[in-house]
Amino acid sequence: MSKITKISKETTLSSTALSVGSPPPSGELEGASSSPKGRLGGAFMTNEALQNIITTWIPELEFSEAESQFLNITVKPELLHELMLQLKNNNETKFDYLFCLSGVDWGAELGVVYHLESTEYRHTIVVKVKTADRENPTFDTVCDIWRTAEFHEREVFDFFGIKFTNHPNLKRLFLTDEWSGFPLRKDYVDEINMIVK
Amino acid sequence: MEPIVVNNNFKSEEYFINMGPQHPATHGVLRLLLTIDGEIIKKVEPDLGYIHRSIEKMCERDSYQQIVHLTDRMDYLSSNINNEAVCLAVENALQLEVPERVKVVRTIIGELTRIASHTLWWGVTGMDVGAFTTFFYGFRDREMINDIFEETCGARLTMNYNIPGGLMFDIHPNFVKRTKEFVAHFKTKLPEYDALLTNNVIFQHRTKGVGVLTKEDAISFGASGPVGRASGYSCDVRVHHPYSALDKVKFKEAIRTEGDTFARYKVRIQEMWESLSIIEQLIDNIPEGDHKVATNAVIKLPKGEFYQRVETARGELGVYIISTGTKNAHRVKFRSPGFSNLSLLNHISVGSKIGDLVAIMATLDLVIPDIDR
Repeated sequence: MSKITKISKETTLSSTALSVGSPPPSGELEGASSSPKGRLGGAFMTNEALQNIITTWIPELEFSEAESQFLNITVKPELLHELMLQLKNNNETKFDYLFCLSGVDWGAELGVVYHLESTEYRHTIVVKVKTADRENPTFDTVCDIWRTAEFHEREVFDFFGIKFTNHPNLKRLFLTDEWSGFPLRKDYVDEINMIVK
Repeated sequence: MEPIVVNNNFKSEEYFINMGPQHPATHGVLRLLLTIDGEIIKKVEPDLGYIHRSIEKMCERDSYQQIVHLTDRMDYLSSNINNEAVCLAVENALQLEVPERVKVVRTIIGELTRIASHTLWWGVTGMDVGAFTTFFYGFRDREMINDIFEETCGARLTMNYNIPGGLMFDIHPNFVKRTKEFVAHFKTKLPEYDALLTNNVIFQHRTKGVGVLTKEDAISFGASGPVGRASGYSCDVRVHHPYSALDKVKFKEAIRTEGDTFARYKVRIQEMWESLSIIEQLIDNIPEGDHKVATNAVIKLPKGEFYQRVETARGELGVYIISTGTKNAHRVKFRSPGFSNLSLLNHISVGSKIGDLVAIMATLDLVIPDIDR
Protein backbone atom coordinates (compact mmCIF):
# COMPACT_ATOMS: atom_id res chain seq x y z
CA MET A 1 0.00 0.00 0.00
CA SER A 2 2.76 2.41 0.97
CA LYS A 3 4.53 1.51 -2.25
CA ILE A 4 1.56 2.61 -4.35
CA THR A 5 1.37 5.96 -2.58
CA LYS A 6 5.04 6.51 -3.20
CA ILE A 7 4.71 5.87 -6.93
CA SER A 8 1.79 8.23 -7.30
CA LYS A 9 3.74 10.95 -5.50
CA GLU A 10 6.61 10.56 -7.90
CA THR A 11 4.28 10.80 -10.84
CA THR A 12 2.83 14.06 -9.54
CA LEU A 13 6.27 15.46 -8.98
CA SER A 14 7.57 14.56 -12.41
CA SER A 15 4.47 15.88 -14.16
CA THR A 16 4.74 19.27 -12.45
CA ALA A 17 8.39 19.45 -13.36
CA LEU A 18 7.47 19.17 -17.01
CA SER A 19 6.19 22.15 -18.92
CA VAL A 20 2.52 21.32 -18.62
CA GLY A 21 0.22 22.25 -21.43
CA SER A 22 2.65 23.93 -23.77
CA PRO A 23 3.66 22.60 -27.16
CA PRO A 24 7.35 21.97 -27.87
CA PRO A 25 9.30 25.05 -28.94
CA SER A 26 8.51 25.95 -32.49
CA GLY A 27 12.14 26.24 -33.49
CA GLU A 28 12.41 22.49 -33.25
CA LEU A 29 10.18 21.96 -36.23
CA GLU A 30 10.30 23.42 -39.64
CA GLY A 31 7.03 25.08 -40.41
CA ALA A 32 5.33 24.68 -43.73
CA SER A 33 4.06 27.57 -45.72
CA SER A 34 0.34 27.12 -46.09
CA SER A 35 0.32 28.50 -49.61
CA PRO A 36 2.95 26.76 -51.69
CA LYS A 37 4.24 28.94 -54.48
CA GLY A 38 5.95 27.81 -57.60
CA ARG A 39 9.68 28.25 -57.92
CA LEU A 40 12.17 27.90 -60.73
CA GLY A 41 10.04 29.75 -63.22
CA GLY A 42 7.04 27.44 -63.12
CA ALA A 43 3.73 28.22 -61.45
CA PHE A 44 0.21 26.97 -60.93
CA MET A 45 -1.51 26.52 -64.28
CA THR A 46 -5.20 26.68 -65.06
CA ASN A 47 -6.84 23.87 -66.98
CA GLU A 48 -6.82 26.02 -70.11
CA ALA A 49 -3.10 26.74 -69.84
CA LEU A 50 -2.40 23.07 -69.20
CA GLN A 51 -4.40 22.06 -72.25
CA ASN A 52 -2.55 24.59 -74.41
CA ILE A 53 0.88 23.39 -73.43
CA ILE A 54 0.07 19.65 -73.58
CA THR A 55 -1.41 19.98 -77.08
CA THR A 56 1.92 21.26 -78.32
CA TRP A 57 3.62 17.99 -77.29
CA ILE A 58 1.11 15.52 -78.70
CA PRO A 59 -1.64 16.90 -80.92
CA GLU A 60 -3.93 13.85 -81.03
CA LEU A 61 -5.27 13.98 -77.45
CA GLU A 62 -8.86 14.33 -76.31
CA PHE A 63 -9.50 16.92 -73.60
CA SER A 64 -12.63 17.14 -71.54
CA GLU A 65 -13.79 19.01 -68.46
CA ALA A 66 -17.37 17.78 -68.57
CA GLU A 67 -18.72 15.76 -65.64
CA SER A 68 -15.49 16.04 -63.66
CA GLN A 69 -13.73 18.50 -61.40
CA PHE A 70 -10.42 17.89 -63.17
CA LEU A 71 -9.11 18.34 -66.68
CA ASN A 72 -9.34 14.91 -68.31
CA ILE A 73 -7.05 13.72 -71.08
CA THR A 74 -7.85 10.58 -73.02
CA VAL A 75 -4.79 9.15 -74.68
CA LYS A 76 -4.24 6.25 -77.04
CA PRO A 77 -2.38 3.33 -75.44
CA GLU A 78 0.65 3.67 -77.75
CA LEU A 79 1.16 7.34 -76.72
CA LEU A 80 0.59 6.80 -72.97
CA HIS A 81 4.18 6.41 -71.87
CA GLU A 82 5.43 9.33 -73.94
CA LEU A 83 2.74 11.64 -72.52
CA MET A 84 3.35 10.52 -68.94
CA LEU A 85 7.10 11.10 -69.23
CA GLN A 86 6.46 14.61 -70.48
CA LEU A 87 3.92 15.37 -67.75
CA LYS A 88 6.41 14.32 -65.10
CA ASN A 89 9.58 15.81 -66.50
CA ASN A 90 8.48 19.02 -68.17
CA ASN A 91 9.50 21.99 -66.03
CA GLU A 92 6.18 23.76 -66.47
CA THR A 93 3.91 20.83 -65.56
CA LYS A 94 6.02 18.69 -63.16
CA PHE A 95 3.32 16.19 -62.23
CA ASP A 96 5.47 14.31 -59.77
CA TYR A 97 2.75 12.85 -57.54
CA LEU A 98 0.54 10.05 -58.84
CA PHE A 99 -2.11 10.17 -56.13
CA CYS A 100 -4.51 7.63 -57.56
CA LEU A 101 -4.37 4.88 -60.15
CA SER A 102 -7.63 3.05 -60.79
CA GLY A 103 -8.73 0.34 -63.14
CA VAL A 104 -12.17 0.91 -64.64
CA ASP A 105 -14.52 -1.31 -66.63
CA TRP A 106 -16.69 0.96 -68.78
CA GLY A 107 -18.61 -1.98 -70.20
CA ALA A 108 -17.33 -2.09 -73.76
CA GLU A 109 -13.92 -0.79 -72.81
CA LEU A 110 -11.40 -1.49 -70.10
CA GLY A 111 -9.03 1.18 -68.98
CA VAL A 112 -6.90 2.86 -66.37
CA VAL A 113 -7.37 6.31 -64.83
CA TYR A 114 -4.35 8.19 -63.50
CA HIS A 115 -4.82 11.12 -61.11
CA LEU A 116 -1.77 13.37 -61.08
CA GLU A 117 -0.73 16.35 -59.03
CA SER A 118 2.31 18.59 -59.01
CA THR A 119 3.63 18.92 -55.47
CA GLU A 120 5.37 22.13 -56.44
CA TYR A 121 2.69 23.97 -58.42
CA ARG A 122 -0.36 22.12 -57.04
CA HIS A 123 -2.19 21.74 -60.31
CA THR A 124 -3.98 18.46 -60.97
CA ILE A 125 -4.85 16.49 -64.07
CA VAL A 126 -6.47 13.17 -64.94
CA VAL A 127 -5.20 10.89 -67.69
CA LYS A 128 -7.34 8.09 -69.05
CA VAL A 129 -6.35 5.27 -71.31
CA LYS A 130 -8.84 2.80 -72.75
CA THR A 131 -8.88 -0.30 -74.89
CA ALA A 132 -11.69 -2.31 -76.42
CA ASP A 133 -9.61 -5.48 -76.27
CA ARG A 134 -11.10 -7.40 -73.36
CA GLU A 135 -9.20 -10.60 -74.06
CA ASN A 136 -5.72 -9.23 -73.74
CA PRO A 137 -5.77 -5.59 -72.57
CA THR A 138 -2.23 -4.24 -72.36
CA PHE A 139 -0.77 -0.85 -71.55
CA ASP A 140 2.74 0.39 -70.89
CA THR A 141 3.73 0.53 -67.25
CA VAL A 142 4.39 3.87 -65.59
CA CYS A 143 6.33 2.47 -62.63
CA ASP A 144 9.56 3.74 -64.10
CA ILE A 145 8.07 7.24 -63.80
CA TRP A 146 6.24 6.97 -60.44
CA ARG A 147 7.30 4.05 -58.25
CA THR A 148 3.94 3.96 -56.48
CA ALA A 149 2.49 2.59 -59.71
CA GLU A 150 4.22 -0.73 -59.09
CA PHE A 151 1.73 -1.80 -56.42
CA HIS A 152 -1.25 -0.02 -57.93
CA GLU A 153 -0.72 -1.67 -61.31
CA ARG A 154 -0.50 -5.06 -59.65
CA GLU A 155 -3.84 -4.35 -58.02
CA VAL A 156 -5.36 -3.41 -61.39
CA PHE A 157 -3.89 -6.57 -62.94
CA ASP A 158 -5.34 -8.62 -60.10
CA PHE A 159 -8.89 -7.29 -60.35
CA PHE A 160 -9.22 -6.28 -64.02
CA GLY A 161 -6.73 -8.50 -65.81
CA ILE A 162 -5.05 -5.52 -67.45
CA LYS A 163 -1.43 -6.26 -68.26
CA PHE A 164 1.36 -3.72 -68.04
CA THR A 165 4.37 -4.20 -70.28
CA ASN A 166 7.79 -3.70 -68.67
CA HIS A 167 6.35 -4.04 -65.17
CA PRO A 168 9.11 -5.60 -63.00
CA ASN A 169 6.90 -7.91 -60.96
CA LEU A 170 3.47 -8.30 -62.50
CA LYS A 171 1.58 -10.97 -60.57
CA ARG A 172 -1.53 -11.22 -58.44
CA LEU A 173 -1.35 -9.07 -55.31
CA PHE A 174 -4.43 -9.88 -53.23
CA LEU A 175 -5.91 -12.99 -54.80
CA THR A 176 -4.24 -16.36 -55.05
CA ASP A 177 -2.48 -17.38 -58.24
CA GLU A 178 -5.07 -20.10 -58.87
CA TRP A 179 -7.97 -17.62 -58.91
CA SER A 180 -9.71 -17.59 -62.27
CA GLY A 181 -11.29 -14.44 -63.63
CA PHE A 182 -11.03 -10.81 -62.60
CA PRO A 183 -13.63 -9.88 -59.96
CA LEU A 184 -13.99 -6.15 -60.59
CA ARG A 185 -14.87 -6.64 -64.26
CA LYS A 186 -18.56 -6.12 -64.93
CA ASP A 187 -18.88 -9.48 -66.69
CA TYR A 188 -17.31 -11.45 -63.84
CA VAL A 189 -19.44 -14.45 -62.94
CA ASP A 190 -19.54 -14.90 -59.21
CA GLU A 191 -20.37 -18.58 -59.08
CA ILE A 192 -19.93 -19.29 -55.41
CA ASN A 193 -21.53 -16.07 -54.15
CA MET A 194 -18.31 -14.70 -52.76
CA ILE A 195 -19.23 -11.08 -53.29
CA VAL A 196 -22.89 -10.67 -54.16
CA LYS A 197 -25.12 -12.32 -51.64
CA MET B 1 22.14 -38.62 -50.31
CA GLU B 2 21.99 -35.70 -52.76
CA PRO B 3 21.08 -32.33 -51.22
CA ILE B 4 17.74 -31.00 -52.43
CA VAL B 5 18.07 -27.68 -54.24
CA VAL B 6 14.97 -25.68 -53.34
CA ASN B 7 15.53 -22.53 -55.31
CA ASN B 8 18.52 -21.71 -57.46
CA ASN B 9 17.91 -17.97 -57.15
CA PHE B 10 19.26 -17.91 -53.60
CA LYS B 11 22.90 -17.56 -52.84
CA SER B 12 24.21 -20.11 -50.40
CA GLU B 13 24.18 -17.80 -47.36
CA GLU B 14 20.82 -16.19 -48.04
CA TYR B 15 17.59 -17.68 -46.83
CA PHE B 16 14.03 -16.63 -46.50
CA ILE B 17 11.64 -16.52 -43.57
CA ASN B 18 8.02 -15.57 -43.05
CA MET B 19 7.11 -12.67 -40.84
CA GLY B 20 3.41 -12.93 -40.21
CA PRO B 21 0.59 -13.27 -41.04
CA GLN B 22 0.21 -13.70 -37.27
CA HIS B 23 3.25 -11.76 -36.15
CA PRO B 24 2.37 -9.26 -33.39
CA ALA B 25 4.49 -6.50 -34.93
CA THR B 26 2.60 -6.59 -38.22
CA HIS B 27 -0.51 -5.35 -36.37
CA GLY B 28 -2.87 -7.46 -38.39
CA VAL B 29 -2.75 -10.22 -40.93
CA LEU B 30 0.10 -9.01 -43.08
CA ARG B 31 2.62 -11.56 -44.28
CA LEU B 32 6.10 -10.41 -45.17
CA LEU B 33 8.46 -12.67 -47.04
CA LEU B 34 11.91 -11.68 -45.87
CA THR B 35 15.04 -12.63 -47.76
CA ILE B 36 17.83 -12.30 -45.26
CA ASP B 37 21.53 -12.78 -45.03
CA GLY B 38 22.29 -13.46 -41.39
CA GLU B 39 20.22 -10.74 -39.81
CA ILE B 40 20.55 -8.24 -42.68
CA ILE B 41 17.44 -7.77 -44.78
CA LYS B 42 17.97 -8.22 -48.51
CA LYS B 43 14.37 -8.02 -49.64
CA VAL B 44 10.92 -7.57 -48.14
CA GLU B 45 7.98 -8.75 -50.15
CA PRO B 46 4.51 -8.18 -48.69
CA ASP B 47 1.93 -10.88 -49.33
CA LEU B 48 -1.53 -9.37 -49.10
CA GLY B 49 -5.11 -10.48 -49.29
CA TYR B 50 -5.65 -12.34 -46.03
CA ILE B 51 -8.61 -10.17 -45.09
CA HIS B 52 -9.58 -8.65 -48.42
CA ARG B 53 -13.34 -8.10 -48.39
CA SER B 54 -13.75 -6.57 -51.82
CA ILE B 55 -15.28 -3.38 -50.47
CA GLU B 56 -14.97 -1.74 -53.89
CA LYS B 57 -17.10 -4.45 -55.48
CA MET B 58 -19.67 -4.22 -52.68
CA CYS B 59 -19.85 -0.46 -53.28
CA GLU B 60 -21.09 -1.16 -56.81
CA ARG B 61 -23.97 -3.14 -55.32
CA ASP B 62 -25.00 -0.91 -52.41
CA SER B 63 -26.68 2.48 -52.21
CA TYR B 64 -24.68 5.58 -51.38
CA GLN B 65 -25.97 5.61 -47.80
CA GLN B 66 -24.84 2.01 -47.34
CA ILE B 67 -21.38 2.63 -48.76
CA VAL B 68 -20.60 4.95 -45.84
CA HIS B 69 -20.87 2.04 -43.42
CA LEU B 70 -18.41 -0.06 -45.38
CA THR B 71 -15.70 2.59 -45.17
CA ASP B 72 -15.54 2.20 -41.39
CA ARG B 73 -14.04 -1.18 -42.00
CA MET B 74 -11.09 0.05 -44.04
CA ASP B 75 -8.91 2.08 -41.72
CA TYR B 76 -10.91 1.39 -38.58
CA LEU B 77 -8.83 3.83 -36.54
CA SER B 78 -9.87 6.72 -38.80
CA SER B 79 -13.41 5.50 -39.28
CA ASN B 80 -15.01 8.91 -38.86
CA ILE B 81 -12.74 10.52 -41.42
CA ASN B 82 -13.41 7.70 -43.90
CA ASN B 83 -17.16 8.21 -43.46
CA GLU B 84 -16.70 11.92 -43.95
CA ALA B 85 -14.81 11.37 -47.22
CA VAL B 86 -17.67 9.43 -48.81
CA CYS B 87 -20.27 11.86 -47.48
CA LEU B 88 -18.33 14.82 -48.87
CA ALA B 89 -18.01 13.13 -52.25
CA VAL B 90 -21.75 12.46 -52.39
CA GLU B 91 -22.62 15.96 -51.17
CA ASN B 92 -20.32 17.58 -53.72
CA ALA B 93 -21.87 15.49 -56.46
CA LEU B 94 -25.37 16.54 -55.39
CA GLN B 95 -24.15 20.14 -54.83
CA LEU B 96 -25.61 19.94 -51.37
CA GLU B 97 -24.54 22.61 -48.90
CA VAL B 98 -24.47 21.18 -45.38
CA PRO B 99 -25.10 23.43 -42.34
CA GLU B 100 -22.13 25.13 -40.68
CA ARG B 101 -22.82 23.15 -37.51
CA VAL B 102 -22.23 19.91 -39.38
CA LYS B 103 -18.93 21.14 -40.81
CA VAL B 104 -17.60 22.19 -37.41
CA VAL B 105 -18.72 19.02 -35.62
CA ARG B 106 -17.23 16.87 -38.40
CA THR B 107 -13.91 18.63 -38.06
CA ILE B 108 -13.84 18.35 -34.26
CA ILE B 109 -14.70 14.66 -34.38
CA GLY B 110 -12.17 14.14 -37.17
CA GLU B 111 -9.40 15.65 -35.06
CA LEU B 112 -10.47 13.64 -32.00
CA THR B 113 -10.28 10.57 -34.21
CA ARG B 114 -6.78 11.56 -35.28
CA ILE B 115 -5.66 11.94 -31.66
CA ALA B 116 -7.27 8.60 -30.74
CA SER B 117 -5.47 6.92 -33.62
CA HIS B 118 -2.15 8.54 -32.78
CA THR B 119 -2.37 7.64 -29.08
CA LEU B 120 -2.95 4.01 -30.03
CA TRP B 121 -0.09 4.21 -32.53
CA TRP B 122 2.16 5.70 -29.82
CA GLY B 123 1.28 2.93 -27.42
CA VAL B 124 2.01 0.10 -29.82
CA THR B 125 5.13 1.77 -31.22
CA GLY B 126 6.60 1.83 -27.75
CA MET B 127 5.63 -1.77 -27.28
CA ASP B 128 7.15 -2.80 -30.61
CA VAL B 129 10.53 -1.45 -29.57
CA GLY B 130 10.33 -2.90 -26.09
CA ALA B 131 8.71 -0.26 -23.87
CA PHE B 132 5.59 -1.87 -22.49
CA THR B 133 4.29 1.02 -20.35
CA THR B 134 3.46 3.20 -23.34
CA PHE B 135 0.71 0.79 -24.30
CA PHE B 136 -1.20 1.52 -21.10
CA TYR B 137 -0.59 5.27 -21.23
CA GLY B 138 -1.83 5.43 -24.81
CA PHE B 139 -4.91 3.36 -24.18
CA ARG B 140 -5.74 5.33 -21.02
CA ASP B 141 -6.00 8.58 -22.97
CA ARG B 142 -7.67 7.02 -25.99
CA GLU B 143 -10.36 5.66 -23.69
CA MET B 144 -11.53 9.21 -22.90
CA ILE B 145 -12.07 9.91 -26.60
CA ASN B 146 -13.86 6.61 -27.09
CA ASP B 147 -16.19 7.55 -24.23
CA ILE B 148 -17.00 10.86 -25.93
CA PHE B 149 -17.75 9.00 -29.15
CA GLU B 150 -19.84 6.42 -27.38
CA GLU B 151 -22.01 9.11 -25.83
CA THR B 152 -22.52 11.02 -29.07
CA CYS B 153 -22.39 8.34 -31.76
CA GLY B 154 -23.35 5.22 -29.85
CA ALA B 155 -20.21 3.39 -30.89
CA ARG B 156 -16.60 3.47 -29.88
CA LEU B 157 -14.73 2.30 -32.94
CA THR B 158 -16.88 2.13 -36.08
CA MET B 159 -18.87 5.28 -35.52
CA ASN B 160 -21.09 5.59 -38.61
CA TYR B 161 -21.92 9.10 -37.44
CA ASN B 162 -21.78 10.84 -40.83
CA ILE B 163 -24.50 10.46 -43.41
CA PRO B 164 -24.81 12.15 -46.80
CA GLY B 165 -26.35 15.49 -45.85
CA GLY B 166 -24.97 15.84 -42.34
CA LEU B 167 -24.86 13.85 -39.13
CA MET B 168 -27.05 10.98 -38.10
CA PHE B 169 -28.14 12.83 -34.95
CA ASP B 170 -27.15 15.93 -33.06
CA ILE B 171 -24.22 15.96 -30.63
CA HIS B 172 -24.85 14.85 -27.07
CA PRO B 173 -25.40 17.71 -24.54
CA ASN B 174 -22.22 16.63 -22.75
CA PHE B 175 -20.09 16.64 -25.90
CA VAL B 176 -18.60 20.12 -25.50
CA LYS B 177 -17.92 19.73 -21.80
CA ARG B 178 -16.29 16.35 -22.11
CA THR B 179 -14.22 17.33 -25.12
CA LYS B 180 -12.87 20.33 -23.19
CA GLU B 181 -12.10 18.07 -20.25
CA PHE B 182 -10.19 15.78 -22.57
CA VAL B 183 -8.20 18.61 -24.13
CA ALA B 184 -7.21 19.91 -20.70
CA HIS B 185 -6.30 16.38 -19.58
CA PHE B 186 -4.34 15.50 -22.68
CA LYS B 187 -2.29 18.69 -22.55
CA THR B 188 -0.86 17.53 -19.26
CA LYS B 189 -0.28 14.01 -20.59
CA LEU B 190 1.48 14.73 -23.89
CA PRO B 191 4.64 16.03 -22.14
CA GLU B 192 4.66 12.73 -20.25
CA TYR B 193 4.78 10.94 -23.59
CA ASP B 194 7.95 12.82 -24.40
CA ALA B 195 9.44 12.16 -20.97
CA LEU B 196 8.67 8.47 -21.16
CA LEU B 197 9.56 7.58 -24.73
CA THR B 198 10.72 10.45 -26.97
CA ASN B 199 13.64 11.41 -24.75
CA ASN B 200 14.52 7.82 -23.93
CA VAL B 201 18.06 7.12 -25.08
CA ILE B 202 17.39 3.50 -26.02
CA PHE B 203 14.37 4.51 -28.09
CA GLN B 204 16.36 7.18 -29.89
CA HIS B 205 19.10 4.69 -30.71
CA ARG B 206 16.50 2.32 -32.11
CA THR B 207 14.92 4.95 -34.35
CA LYS B 208 17.39 7.67 -35.39
CA GLY B 209 18.87 7.08 -38.82
CA VAL B 210 16.78 3.94 -39.32
CA GLY B 211 14.67 3.51 -42.44
CA VAL B 212 15.55 6.80 -44.11
CA LEU B 213 13.20 7.93 -46.88
CA THR B 214 14.25 10.86 -49.04
CA LYS B 215 11.80 13.51 -50.20
CA GLU B 216 12.07 12.48 -53.87
CA ASP B 217 11.36 8.85 -53.02
CA ALA B 218 8.49 9.83 -50.73
CA ILE B 219 6.76 11.66 -53.58
CA SER B 220 7.56 8.95 -56.12
CA PHE B 221 6.19 6.22 -53.87
CA GLY B 222 3.07 8.26 -53.18
CA ALA B 223 3.80 8.48 -49.45
CA SER B 224 1.33 10.64 -47.60
CA GLY B 225 0.43 11.59 -44.08
CA PRO B 226 3.14 11.60 -41.39
CA VAL B 227 5.32 9.30 -43.53
CA GLY B 228 5.54 11.90 -46.30
CA ARG B 229 5.79 14.87 -43.96
CA ALA B 230 8.70 13.33 -42.04
CA SER B 231 10.63 13.41 -45.32
CA GLY B 232 10.13 17.13 -45.69
CA TYR B 233 7.27 16.79 -48.15
CA SER B 234 4.32 19.08 -47.54
CA CYS B 235 1.43 16.73 -48.27
CA ASP B 236 -1.28 17.54 -45.74
CA VAL B 237 -4.63 17.48 -47.54
CA ARG B 238 -6.03 19.65 -44.75
CA VAL B 239 -3.65 22.42 -45.84
CA HIS B 240 -3.73 22.04 -49.61
CA HIS B 241 -7.34 21.01 -50.18
CA PRO B 242 -9.22 22.00 -47.00
CA TYR B 243 -12.65 20.48 -46.44
CA SER B 244 -15.42 20.87 -43.81
CA ALA B 245 -14.38 23.59 -41.31
CA LEU B 246 -10.63 23.23 -41.84
CA ASP B 247 -10.44 26.47 -43.82
CA LYS B 248 -11.54 28.35 -40.68
CA VAL B 249 -8.78 27.13 -38.39
CA LYS B 250 -5.10 27.93 -38.17
CA PHE B 251 -2.60 25.19 -37.63
CA LYS B 252 0.95 24.41 -38.56
CA GLU B 253 1.66 21.44 -40.77
CA ALA B 254 4.11 19.22 -38.89
CA ILE B 255 7.11 18.77 -41.15
CA ARG B 256 10.55 17.37 -40.51
CA THR B 257 13.33 16.78 -42.98
CA GLU B 258 15.30 13.80 -41.62
CA GLY B 259 13.01 11.16 -43.13
CA ASP B 260 13.97 8.51 -40.58
CA THR B 261 11.88 6.53 -38.13
CA PHE B 262 12.40 9.10 -35.38
CA ALA B 263 11.20 11.91 -37.66
CA ARG B 264 8.00 10.01 -38.43
CA TYR B 265 7.54 9.54 -34.69
CA LYS B 266 8.06 13.25 -33.95
CA VAL B 267 5.67 14.32 -36.71
CA ARG B 268 2.85 12.34 -35.12
CA ILE B 269 3.57 13.77 -31.67
CA GLN B 270 3.49 17.28 -33.14
CA GLU B 271 0.26 16.46 -35.00
CA MET B 272 -1.45 15.63 -31.72
CA TRP B 273 -0.59 19.14 -30.47
CA GLU B 274 -1.95 20.65 -33.67
CA SER B 275 -5.15 18.60 -33.45
CA LEU B 276 -5.66 19.84 -29.88
CA SER B 277 -5.24 23.38 -31.15
CA ILE B 278 -7.80 22.84 -33.95
CA ILE B 279 -10.31 21.43 -31.45
CA GLU B 280 -9.76 24.40 -29.10
CA GLN B 281 -10.40 26.87 -31.91
CA LEU B 282 -13.72 25.27 -32.76
CA ILE B 283 -15.18 23.79 -29.60
CA ASP B 284 -16.52 27.06 -28.16
CA ASN B 285 -17.99 28.20 -31.45
CA ILE B 286 -20.12 25.33 -32.68
CA PRO B 287 -22.82 27.19 -34.64
CA GLU B 288 -26.45 26.59 -33.79
CA GLY B 289 -28.61 24.99 -36.44
CA ASP B 290 -29.71 21.74 -37.94
CA HIS B 291 -27.51 18.68 -37.84
CA LYS B 292 -28.48 17.61 -41.35
CA VAL B 293 -30.23 18.62 -44.51
CA ALA B 294 -32.87 16.37 -45.98
CA THR B 295 -31.86 14.18 -48.89
CA ASN B 296 -33.99 11.89 -51.00
CA ALA B 297 -34.50 8.45 -49.53
CA VAL B 298 -32.90 7.09 -52.69
CA ILE B 299 -29.83 9.08 -53.61
CA LYS B 300 -29.01 9.21 -57.29
CA LEU B 301 -25.82 10.99 -58.23
CA PRO B 302 -25.71 12.84 -61.54
CA LYS B 303 -23.72 11.24 -64.35
CA GLY B 304 -20.04 11.98 -63.97
CA GLU B 305 -16.90 11.43 -61.94
CA PHE B 306 -16.32 12.70 -58.44
CA TYR B 307 -13.14 12.69 -56.43
CA GLN B 308 -12.75 13.63 -52.77
CA ARG B 309 -9.47 13.82 -50.89
CA VAL B 310 -9.25 13.84 -47.10
CA GLU B 311 -6.44 13.48 -44.59
CA THR B 312 -6.94 10.46 -42.34
CA ALA B 313 -4.62 9.69 -39.44
CA ARG B 314 -2.49 7.69 -41.89
CA GLY B 315 -2.43 10.03 -44.85
CA GLU B 316 -4.34 10.85 -47.95
CA LEU B 317 -7.54 8.95 -48.57
CA GLY B 318 -9.11 9.40 -51.98
CA VAL B 319 -12.66 8.42 -52.86
CA TYR B 320 -13.22 8.14 -56.60
CA ILE B 321 -16.83 7.61 -57.66
CA ILE B 322 -17.90 7.06 -61.26
CA SER B 323 -21.65 7.48 -61.58
CA THR B 324 -23.88 6.73 -64.54
CA GLY B 325 -26.82 8.53 -62.96
CA THR B 326 -28.37 5.57 -61.16
CA LYS B 327 -28.73 4.79 -57.47
CA ASN B 328 -25.60 2.64 -57.51
CA ALA B 329 -22.10 3.71 -58.35
CA HIS B 330 -20.60 2.31 -61.53
CA ARG B 331 -17.19 2.17 -59.88
CA VAL B 332 -15.86 3.23 -56.50
CA LYS B 333 -12.14 3.32 -55.88
CA PHE B 334 -10.56 4.00 -52.52
CA ARG B 335 -7.04 5.30 -52.68
CA SER B 336 -5.93 4.24 -49.25
CA PRO B 337 -2.87 5.77 -47.59
CA GLY B 338 -1.66 2.48 -46.09
CA PHE B 339 -1.41 0.81 -49.49
CA SER B 340 1.00 3.38 -50.89
CA ASN B 341 2.92 3.61 -47.62
CA LEU B 342 3.38 -0.16 -47.58
CA SER B 343 4.80 -0.13 -51.10
CA LEU B 344 7.89 1.73 -49.90
CA LEU B 345 8.65 -0.71 -47.06
CA ASN B 346 11.07 -2.76 -49.16
CA HIS B 347 12.84 0.38 -50.35
CA ILE B 348 13.61 1.75 -46.88
CA SER B 349 14.30 -1.46 -45.00
CA VAL B 350 16.82 -3.18 -47.28
CA GLY B 351 20.17 -3.30 -45.50
CA SER B 352 18.79 -2.92 -42.00
CA LYS B 353 18.23 -5.62 -39.39
CA ILE B 354 15.04 -7.47 -38.54
CA GLY B 355 14.71 -5.49 -35.32
CA ASP B 356 14.89 -2.27 -37.33
CA LEU B 357 12.18 -3.55 -39.64
CA VAL B 358 9.86 -3.76 -36.63
CA ALA B 359 10.66 -0.15 -35.73
CA ILE B 360 10.18 0.97 -39.34
CA MET B 361 6.82 -0.76 -39.62
CA ALA B 362 5.71 0.76 -36.33
CA THR B 363 6.18 4.28 -37.67
CA LEU B 364 4.69 3.51 -41.08
CA ASP B 365 1.59 2.90 -38.92
CA LEU B 366 0.04 0.31 -41.19
CA VAL B 367 -3.55 -0.73 -40.65
CA ILE B 368 -4.04 -3.90 -42.65
CA PRO B 369 -7.80 -3.58 -43.44
CA ASP B 370 -6.88 -0.26 -45.03
CA ILE B 371 -4.52 -2.09 -47.40
CA ASP B 372 -6.73 -5.17 -47.93
CA ARG B 373 -9.84 -3.19 -48.77
